[in-house]
Amino acid sequence: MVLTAITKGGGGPLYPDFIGRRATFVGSGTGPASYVLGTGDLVTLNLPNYYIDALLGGVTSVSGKYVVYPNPAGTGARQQWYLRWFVALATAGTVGAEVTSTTNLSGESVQLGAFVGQF
Amino acid sequence: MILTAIGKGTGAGPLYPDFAGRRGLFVGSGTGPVSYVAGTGDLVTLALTNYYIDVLIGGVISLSKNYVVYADPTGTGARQQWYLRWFAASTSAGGSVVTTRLGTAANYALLAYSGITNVGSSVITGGNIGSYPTTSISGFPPGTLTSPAVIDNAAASAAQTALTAAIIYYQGLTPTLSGLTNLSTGGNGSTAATYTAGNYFGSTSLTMPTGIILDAQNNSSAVFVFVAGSTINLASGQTIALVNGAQAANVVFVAGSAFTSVATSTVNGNILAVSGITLGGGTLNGRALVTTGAVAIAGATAVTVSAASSVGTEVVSGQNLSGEAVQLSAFVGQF
Repeated sequence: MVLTAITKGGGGPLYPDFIGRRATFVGSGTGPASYVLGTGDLVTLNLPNYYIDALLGGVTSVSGKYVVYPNPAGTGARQQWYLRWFVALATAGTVGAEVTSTTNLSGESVQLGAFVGQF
Repeated sequence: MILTAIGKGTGAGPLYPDFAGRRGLFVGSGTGPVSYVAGTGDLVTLALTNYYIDVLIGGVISLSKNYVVYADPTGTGARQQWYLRWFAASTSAGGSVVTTRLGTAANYALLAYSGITNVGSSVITGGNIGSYPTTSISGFPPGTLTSPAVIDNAAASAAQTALTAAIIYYQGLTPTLSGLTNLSTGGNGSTAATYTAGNYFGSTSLTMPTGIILDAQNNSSAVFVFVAGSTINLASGQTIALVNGAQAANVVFVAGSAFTSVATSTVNGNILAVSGITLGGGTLNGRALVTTGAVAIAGATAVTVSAASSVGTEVVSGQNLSGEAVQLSAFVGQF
């Protein structure tokens, strides 16, 4: 998933917004065309020279069918962050279960917050 | 859990707290507790003096991918205590490759071929007890089975078959160390009594006159296998201890004949024996499974099999999460 900073009307992107040395970020993106159970979907920023310190999850997709949780590849700065998708509505599968591999989630949108830094 | 602020490369200082007005952002990492408390969770503190947590942001999956953690405050307002609650995000959470290898034998806390006897107020939790073809089971009561554990002799035959296959599998592993006799002095870890993950073989008997330590080196999936050609003996009052994320569910003792623990000893692991198991009292965190003999509890013993977690369920009390790392965010304030 590529996260693109949200905007306010026809204005430019609202994020990243610096606080001290770090920045807050709010962006949206869509799920992968073929999900990988147990691994999730790598999240990147639609910004050059920024990396994710922390991705804030525990939110549902816009449709309400899924809840997404961030899963870092390690601790420390400049980690890769994956987004794991779990079923939140019975119409999408077994509630609480992780989405099965190869499921097409490209029609699902999420909006996420993050703390980011600059390379 | 103590959260330590993340840094940017070796030698650089911490990146957080990073202040926005009167409050600060914080990103840090830490590891889970040695013994989790279900329904309460694990108190989170900062590796900083004079800072407190306004909001801890949960809904993050642990690095192992096995758990999702949620923040749980004790109240509203500033300077609350924040606990971290751990839930299974995968069927591997709290489960074990050993459990999978045991097949239907894993449903049993005590499994025998020629009967089970108990002396004293033993408590069996997390697994059934059964024997086949000799189905005699005595000593319950005074011994008790914690629901849903039951006496199940009907499925014991199939479980014996699965157990035999598991023993053959473990006996066929490639040794990490072989020719062992005294496990209390034959270790390969930080002390002579310490073992890292691996397969440890003795051609005849293995003894533990004093306790041994199993060191998972912060890998909660680490597996420890001890295989004896004949007997395995743990002396009175001694402990098979787990450190650095080691899980009792991932420990196996395979005795070519009998396994004996004496008096108030503590065993962490699954005991697979051919001719018999005698538990002399104390604690067994695991299973006692015999293919062609009896299980005898000679002194009141607490036998507990930790349950594998269902996805979405909270981690059970007592589970060791010290090998599980998470990275978390928070808004913090200064005292």
